[in-house]
Amino acid sequence: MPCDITVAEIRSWCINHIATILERGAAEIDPDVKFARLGLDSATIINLIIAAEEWLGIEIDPDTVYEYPSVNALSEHLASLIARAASPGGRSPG
Amino acid sequence: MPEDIAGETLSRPVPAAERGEHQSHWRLLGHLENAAIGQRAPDGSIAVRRGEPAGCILFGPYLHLPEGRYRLSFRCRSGAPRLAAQPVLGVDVIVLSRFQQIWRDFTAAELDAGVGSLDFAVSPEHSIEGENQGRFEFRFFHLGNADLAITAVELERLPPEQVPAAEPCLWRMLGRLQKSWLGRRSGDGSVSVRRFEAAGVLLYGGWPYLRLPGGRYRLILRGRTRTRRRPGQVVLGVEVFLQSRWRSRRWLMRLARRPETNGEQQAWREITAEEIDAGPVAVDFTVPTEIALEAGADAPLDIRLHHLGNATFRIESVDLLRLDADRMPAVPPPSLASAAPRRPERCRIVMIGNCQTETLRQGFARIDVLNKLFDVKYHFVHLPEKHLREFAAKDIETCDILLVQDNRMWDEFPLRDCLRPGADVRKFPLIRFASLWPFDAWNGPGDRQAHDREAPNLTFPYLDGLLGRLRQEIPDKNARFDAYRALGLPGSLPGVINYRRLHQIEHRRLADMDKQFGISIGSFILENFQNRRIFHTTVQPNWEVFSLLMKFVAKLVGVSEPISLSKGIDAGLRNPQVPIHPKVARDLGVKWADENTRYLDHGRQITWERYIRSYIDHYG
Repeated sequence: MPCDITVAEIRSWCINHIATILERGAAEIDPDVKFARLGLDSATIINLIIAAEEWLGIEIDPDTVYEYPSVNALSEHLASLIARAASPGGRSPG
Repeated sequence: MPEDIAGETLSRPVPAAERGEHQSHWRLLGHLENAAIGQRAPDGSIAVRRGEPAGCILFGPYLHLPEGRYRLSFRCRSGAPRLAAQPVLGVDVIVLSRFQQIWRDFTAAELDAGVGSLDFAVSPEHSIEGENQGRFEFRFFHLGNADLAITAVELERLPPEQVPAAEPCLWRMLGRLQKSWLGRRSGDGSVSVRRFEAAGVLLYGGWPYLRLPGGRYRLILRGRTRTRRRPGQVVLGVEVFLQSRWRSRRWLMRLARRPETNGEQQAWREITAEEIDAGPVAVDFTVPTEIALEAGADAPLDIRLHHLGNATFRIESVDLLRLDADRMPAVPPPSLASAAPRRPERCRIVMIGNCQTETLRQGFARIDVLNKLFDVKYHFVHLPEKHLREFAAKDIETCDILLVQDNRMWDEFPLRDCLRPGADVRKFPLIRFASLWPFDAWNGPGDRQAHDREAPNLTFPYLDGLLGRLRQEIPDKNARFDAYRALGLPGSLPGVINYRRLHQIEHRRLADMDKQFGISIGSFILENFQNRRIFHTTVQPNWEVFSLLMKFVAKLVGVSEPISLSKGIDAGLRNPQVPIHPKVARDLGVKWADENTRYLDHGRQITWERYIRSYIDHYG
């Protein structure tokens, strides 16, 4: 797990991944706009979560995106998960 | 799918534009789906034997068309008909399974040259330019009267200067009516009855079931009498029912050649021998909007001719004519005695959801115990189209129970405001299964290039996001196919989702669904998907899964009796079957799917490789 990964890197990865899924330019992805408004549906959100799991090496609860429904919110949450998992006795709760 | 019509299928395969936006000619045969009747050849042609049950043999392709006039032409060989003067083939042009554009039937003699055609118009409201999604469907009906072989179906947009006159819709019904034990049928289809035979129903029904658009109709009978008891005495009774599922499932009734009586009487007329001999006899009736085809009602027509025991006579034709507005009689002829409709007291249910919901509605219509209790209508959740909103709004306002498929589209349903305060709303689940099709556009990124090239007339209705991605990464088609076949490790090939993880998520989602609704459909899927085919596509369960859902929905409306859908509905559900990637199948422990497994696609049996190679070839 890349424990030194930053919120900015996660944000950038999310933006690029969403841009690829939606076949749009990364500049068009506003990190404060909700996923649904960006055009992601439940299936593409699952796709995003699974790809993020692969990249970060942690398990993420798919429902996370409903609690953290934008790129910025999700990135901060994922960064905190990584930090928690990397701390002594920490686990990746998803 | 009902045995008598195509119904509204879940998948909507449609042919591709051949060139540019102003396509004017379509070869449709290969894009039409086939029902359970007949044998499909690899070239798409279909042959059906005279003895096979009458019903829909080809349907689709749900084509979006520009405004204009069109000619649908087909090549059809007919064998010797059982009833020489009666039609052997019927062709229906219909939009959204509800708005009938034209019907025409053909006798063997009319198909003698081996070709047939009918013209129709695409109005602005149903056109591709309009705000509505007008999906045009062409349905070919085997009328059980002759062997048939349809070898080509083509659609041509007519130039403006070649606009033919509109043809009236006429159904020649005599050959479609069932004969009771009374009377005798001749080789031309006419039916004679003797005066001394017992009075009773002589002819009834109309098979395949005929559902009609709202409006005025004229039933026209031609016949001749011979001996009669007394002048002026009535000899024939004509009765018209709607919402009549007259075809009995009880074998004793079938043996007795008697119809079920469960419809609404629309007309009754008693006819004297003199009237029969004087020429055609007309019986006019109305199909009310609320039980019309466009309202989503399932209201089959039932025509009954009663021998009243007073004369020997012969019925030579029974034709049904749709009256255009300008031909409607202002006042019905005085001799007509229209009976007041007899409405059965059934609980009114409206179902809102995707096309799975329409399959459930068909279940309500086909299962006797449910049909007796409930009058069910269906509306698509993703908008009632502009021209359907009025029907949907009225249905929702007046229904007793609203059954809603639990998905997010319901939250955005535009007619939620039509619900009465305190309305009885009950929810049922949307059943889907992503694990076997992880690259399908339903389950992740789509194939935008393919979509943009063809939408709304997609040749492959289930687009593949991974193939779309690989098109950009690997230009060589063979190399692309090889990469797609191998898949490699997640991350080593662009766009490959970790499908094992997707399956874990599906596992949890299905378990949550079972818990939420108190059902065991999710666990049934998880226990069985490896051993047999219980889904045809990612959003299309087979009849077993639908049966479980049907039981749940019946229970939701208070019916706890055991009910089940017949395996026969699978004929309509499995068109098409989307092949499963052999590596995905292997890795998920699916025993029934590998490289050699055959899948049904537009009536042809194909392998996964053939399907994927044609996808790659088609989209470049």
